[in-house]
Amino acid sequence: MSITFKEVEHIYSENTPFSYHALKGVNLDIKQGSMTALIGHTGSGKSTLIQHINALLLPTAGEIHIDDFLISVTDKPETLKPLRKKAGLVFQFPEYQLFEETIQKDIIFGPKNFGATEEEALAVAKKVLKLVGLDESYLERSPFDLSGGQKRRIAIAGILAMDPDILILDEPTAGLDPQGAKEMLNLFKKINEQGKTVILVSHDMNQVLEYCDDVVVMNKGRVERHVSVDELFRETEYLTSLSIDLPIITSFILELNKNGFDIDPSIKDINELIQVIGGQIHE
Amino acid sequence: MNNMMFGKYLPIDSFVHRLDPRLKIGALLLLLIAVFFDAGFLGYAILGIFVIMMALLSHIKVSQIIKAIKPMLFMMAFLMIFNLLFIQRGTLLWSFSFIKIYDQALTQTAYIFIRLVLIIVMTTILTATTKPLDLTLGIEHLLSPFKKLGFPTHEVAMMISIALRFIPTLLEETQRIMKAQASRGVEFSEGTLKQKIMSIVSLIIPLFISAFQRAEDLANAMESRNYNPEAKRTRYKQLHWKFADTISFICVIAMCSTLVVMSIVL
Amino acid sequence: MEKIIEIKDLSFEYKEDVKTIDNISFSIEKGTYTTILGHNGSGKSTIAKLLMGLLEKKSGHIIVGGIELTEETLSEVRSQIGIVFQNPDNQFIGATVRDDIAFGLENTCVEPSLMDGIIEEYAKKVNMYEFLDHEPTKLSGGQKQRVAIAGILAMSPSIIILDEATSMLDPKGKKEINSLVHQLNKDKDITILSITHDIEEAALSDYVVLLSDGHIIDTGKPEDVLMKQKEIESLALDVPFAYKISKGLQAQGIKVNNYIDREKLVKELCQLHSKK
Repeated sequence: MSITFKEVEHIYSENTPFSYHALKGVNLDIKQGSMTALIGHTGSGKSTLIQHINALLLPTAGEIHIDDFLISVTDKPETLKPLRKKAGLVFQFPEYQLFEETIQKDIIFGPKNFGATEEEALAVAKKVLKLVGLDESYLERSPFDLSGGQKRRIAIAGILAMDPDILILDEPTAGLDPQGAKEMLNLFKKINEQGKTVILVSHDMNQVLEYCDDVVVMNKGRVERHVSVDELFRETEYLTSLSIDLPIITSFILELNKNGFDIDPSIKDINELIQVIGGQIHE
Repeated sequence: MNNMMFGKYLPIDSFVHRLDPRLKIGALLLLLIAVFFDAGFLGYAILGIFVIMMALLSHIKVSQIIKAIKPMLFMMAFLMIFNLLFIQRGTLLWSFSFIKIYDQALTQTAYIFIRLVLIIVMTTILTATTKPLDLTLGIEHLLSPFKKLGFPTHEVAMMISIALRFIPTLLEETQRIMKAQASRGVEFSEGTLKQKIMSIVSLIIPLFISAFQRAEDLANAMESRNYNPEAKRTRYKQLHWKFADTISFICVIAMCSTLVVMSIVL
Repeated sequence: MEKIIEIKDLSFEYKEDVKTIDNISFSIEKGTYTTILGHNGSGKSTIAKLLMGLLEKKSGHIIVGGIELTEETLSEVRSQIGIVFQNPDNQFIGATVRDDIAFGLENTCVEPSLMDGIIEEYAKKVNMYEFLDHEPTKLSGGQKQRVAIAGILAMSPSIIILDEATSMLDPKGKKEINSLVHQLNKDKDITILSITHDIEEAALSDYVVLLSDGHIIDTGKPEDVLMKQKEIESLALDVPFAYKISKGLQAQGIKVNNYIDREKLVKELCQLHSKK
C-alpha cells in the first residue's frame, strides 16, 4: 500500500476572489508500513493534503496513486468510494462524529456502509473495541454517557472497524491528558506494527520523536522535507526558522551543548541521555 | 452557498452604507407596501428610477444585482406562468386547446415580475449596505416601543446577533462532520431513501450535540462576563440620526405618497 | 500575604451522592501564579465553574477578595474574576474583535463614549490592535484567546482563571498565551489560577494544587509537590523532565540537586562539567 503524490496542486474556490492555493507542486512517496508524522504550521496545507489520500478532496492538478487507485483531476468521487475504506481518516475531535444510540451500532456503521453484513461487522466491532482498550460490556451502552477520552476511542474504533490499510490521524491527542495521549499513541504504534501505514498529523514534537519513523514537513503549501525523524531533529536551525518547537529532550541537549557538553542531539531516550551526561561529567 | 448574493453584506463605503439602519429598515417597509399599490406602468417606472438611484448611491454593481435575482428566477417563472394561465379576464389574445391567454393576464404577469424584481433589489440594497449587527440594532430600536408591552426586544436582538455570529461556525462544522461521515462510507448525494435518511441522521445528530455544547459554553462565557439580560446595560454601538437621514426619509415618503396618489387617481 | 481566594470545605455533585468535588479547602495568595493540576475528570474545571458561580455548590464557602460568594454577591465576585475557557470559538460573542471586547463593558454599564478608548488600550496590550475590525472566523485559536483576555482585562479584574485555555491551541498559540499571562502576572500583579494537566507549566508556577477524583492530594510549592514521584505517577501524571534527569544522574553517583526547572538544572550541570 504505497502512497504517491505527483505534482499535486490544490486551489480552493478556484477562479473566485476567495481562491486559496493550499497545495503547491506536492511530490511525496510514503513508504508502506511506515509511521510517518506530518508537521507544519496551522494553514501549511496538512489537512488539505490528508484529505486527498481518501479522495475527500480531488487535486486541481497532478495525480495521486494509492496502490492501484489513481486520483486525478477528472476522477469522479463516486468511483473512489472503495478508497475511503482503504484509507481510514480520523478527523480532529472525532468524538463529534458519533451519532448512534449504542456503541455497537456506531462502530458497525462504517463497515456496513462498505457492504459488510451485520454479523461480520459485529465480529469486527468486538475485536476493535478490545484493541482500543474497552471491553465488550460497552457494546450496548450509549456513546454519549462516556468521558471525552472514551468517546474518542469509540470514534477511532469506528474507523478501525473498516479495516483500513492506511490510518490517517489528524491531531488525535488534542485535549487529552498525558496518560490518555500516551495510551492513544501506543495504540497507533501497535496498529502500525501490525503492518498498517500510519500517518500522524501532530503539533507535539515529543510525540513525533518518540513514536514516528519518518517526518514530512509542510510549509506554505509545499512539502519542504521528507526525512527520518533522526535527521529532522539534527536540523535544529531549520526547525527554529519555521518556529517549530523542538522536543523537550532535544532542546535540553542543545542547551547543554551551548555550555560545553558535546552530546548527539538525536538521542531519543532519556536513560541514554542520562548515561551520556554522566559520562561527560565523570571523564 | 458562497455565491449567493442575496442577504450578503458588501463591505464598502457609500452614501447608503452610512445611512442610519433604522431609516433603511423603515424605508424598506414603506416601499414594500408601496410596491403593491397599483400605480400603473408609469408608477412602476418612477419607482424603478428611484430604486436604480438607490442602487447607484450604494455602489452595488449590476452583476451583483443579477446574482441576487438569479436564485429567485425559478420561483418567479413559476408564479408568472401560473398567473398567465389562470387569470381569465379581458379580451382573449391567443388560445391553443386548453391554454387561453387574456390581455389582463399579460399585464398582471408583467406587474408581478416588476414587483418581485423591485422587492428583491430593494432588499438586496438593505442587506448589502447594512452590517448584520446594525440591522439587529435597528430592529431593536424600532421595536423598543413594544418593550413597554412586555415584548423582550433586547433578548430577541441578542438572539439574532448570536445566531448571525454562529452561522459561519456551524457551516464549517457541518462540512467537517459531512467529511468525517463520508470517510465512514456515507454518500450524501446517493443511495436509497433509507440510506439517505441515515446519512442525514448521521449529520444532524452530531451537529445538534455540538450546537448544544457550544450554547452551554457560550452561556457560561456570557455569564462570566457579567451578562444579565434583565439588568441595565449600555450599548457600544450608538445610532446617530443625521441630516442626510432626514432628507432621505423625506424622499422615501414623497416616493411612497406619489405611488399611493397615482394609484387612487389613475 | 493577603489571601485573595479562600475555599473552605467545598463540595459539589452533578448527580445525587456522586461527589465531583469532595470537601476541599485551599487558599490562593494575591499576585501568585497558581496551577490546579489533575487528569481529565479530576474535577478541576468544576472548581473554576464554582468560583464563577456558574454551578451551585452543595456545601462549603468560596470567598473572593474578602467577599463570600452568594446569590447576592454574584455580580460583585464576577467583576473581580475573568475566566478564559478551553474552546476559543465558544466564548467569542461579538461580531468583530471590537464588539467582543465591548460586550463586558456594556454589561457593566460603561459610558459608550469611553468604550473605544478602553477597547483600543486592551487590544494593544494583547497585540490585537490591528485586528480590531476582524471577524472571529478570520482569527487563529491563539488570537481568539487573546481577544478573550483583552475582554477580561477591559473589566480590570484582580484574578484571571485559565480553564485549560491553551489545550486546543497549536504550539505558537500556546506560547503566545502563556507569555502574555506570565507578563500580566508580573507587571499588573494579576493573580493567575491556571487549570491544566501540563506538568511543565505547573513546574514554572508559584503554587500547585494537585487534584484527583475531586480530592486534593497535595498543595504547596511546585518543587515540593512535583518531586513526589510515587504520588504524581499514581495520578497518571508524569514528573517533570528535569526531575527525571536529576534523579537519573544521582543514581549514577553524580552529586546534583533535584530540579523541576530545566534552566536551573542546565546551569548546575554546566558548572559540574566545567569544574572537572
